[in-house]
Amino acid sequence: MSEIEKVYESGLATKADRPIKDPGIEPHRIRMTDKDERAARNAERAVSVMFLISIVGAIIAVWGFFAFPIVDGDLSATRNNTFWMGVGMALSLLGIGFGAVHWAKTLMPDHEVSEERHIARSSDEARAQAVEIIKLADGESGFTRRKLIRRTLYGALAFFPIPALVIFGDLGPTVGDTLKHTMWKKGTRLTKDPTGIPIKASEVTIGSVFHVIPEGLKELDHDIKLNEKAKAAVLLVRVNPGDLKEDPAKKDWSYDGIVAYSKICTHVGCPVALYEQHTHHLLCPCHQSTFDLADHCKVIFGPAARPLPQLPITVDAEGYLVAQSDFLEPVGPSFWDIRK
Amino acid sequence: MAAWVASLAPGPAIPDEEYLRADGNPTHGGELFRINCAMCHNAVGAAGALTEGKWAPQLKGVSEKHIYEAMVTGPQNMPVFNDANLTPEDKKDIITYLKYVENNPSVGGYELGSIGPVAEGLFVWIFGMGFIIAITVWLGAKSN
Repeated sequence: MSEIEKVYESGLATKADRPIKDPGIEPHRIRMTDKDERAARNAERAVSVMFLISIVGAIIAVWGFFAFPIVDGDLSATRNNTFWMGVGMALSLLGIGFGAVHWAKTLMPDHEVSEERHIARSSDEARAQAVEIIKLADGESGFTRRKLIRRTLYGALAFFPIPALVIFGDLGPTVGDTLKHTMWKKGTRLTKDPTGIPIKASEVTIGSVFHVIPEGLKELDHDIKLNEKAKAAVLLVRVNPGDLKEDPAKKDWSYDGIVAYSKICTHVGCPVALYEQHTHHLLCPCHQSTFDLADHCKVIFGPAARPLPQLPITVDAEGYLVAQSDFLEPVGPSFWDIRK
Repeated sequence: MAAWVASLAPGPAIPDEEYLRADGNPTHGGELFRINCAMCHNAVGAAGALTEGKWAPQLKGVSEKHIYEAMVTGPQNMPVFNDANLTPEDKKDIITYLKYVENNPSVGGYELGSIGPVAEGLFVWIFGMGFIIAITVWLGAKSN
């Protein structure tokens, strides 16, 4: 039986008619620096030049630090400072690195060494010996014989990881229903981002776009504010009322052609705000999901799966735009129990 | 000519000179620009794509008057930003911001067109990775 067929029998290799020959070891080539004393001297000089460049680099870095001091309020001074420090330190480190490698490649001894790989399988004696050791240990410990000990040990090993499950199950507060609600509620005024000035319906002329935050958001603490804004941001647009294709059930969600939609894309949550006045397309800049604002923000292109949720709006006694309620469905990307 | 056009239909007037001097507050203008304009025009006004081949133009080199008038009239598919939405002072600050980024060097190094990850990624892949591959080849090559 030949060597090739043996491999084939294992079922893992395909049989090769003309197996690739072991090319052997490349013949050793003597370097110029070993043959010619002048080449060796040149290499020596090249290495020392690289080390000198490294010294120059360090000097450039120190020079740059003092020649371009960081001036408070002048960002281009910071730019020059970091640029020259960076260039100098890069030259300094690269000079050492290139010099050391060039030195090793051209001047240090050029012996080539090859080692054959040993066989991975242990000898038959060693394998038999290992089996003996396991049998001996089994006999002496009584692992097979003492059933009670063996079974309780299995039980203990099965129970041991349970505390970890309890700990990992309690790493922080659960999301709860925070994904399903925003700051909007009945009577919340629509205000301008970032000033928080309330918006009158009469101010929203046809073709206008207002970037809206709920009244009171501006006064929140910074961290809470960002979380709330990420859910409550709204885009307010007035179109010619005749252009709207409104579902009769949602007819009173708009006010005289003024519609308010969540600005958070239902795909992965980018702010959707590229509104085209004439086509009424609303485009998300991240993955090109396109929503038809005139038709309840139905998805007409791209990866988003749900229309943008609409905020039902109306006007209060003073003529300011207010929300009729919170969004009636979760805003932003879908999640696994969104319909619950 | 302007009088004849105005006689056909009412519309916003030519903006007052005082709002076109680009001497407002660029920080406030920058904030308003990022909220109201940057999604289409890019964070420094380097232009951007819209749907079906339409685009929002570059704002570099556009005159102050032209920028102001575009905000009040909403040319092509651009929405309207009336004086209730962005007050004339706000518009002045936005123009100030645009002129500031146009006339000051970028502090973060070369802008590569200010179009963000595409240009920067291309640069890093070609030059950064190219440099690393060249060093790797040199490290592995034998000296002759």
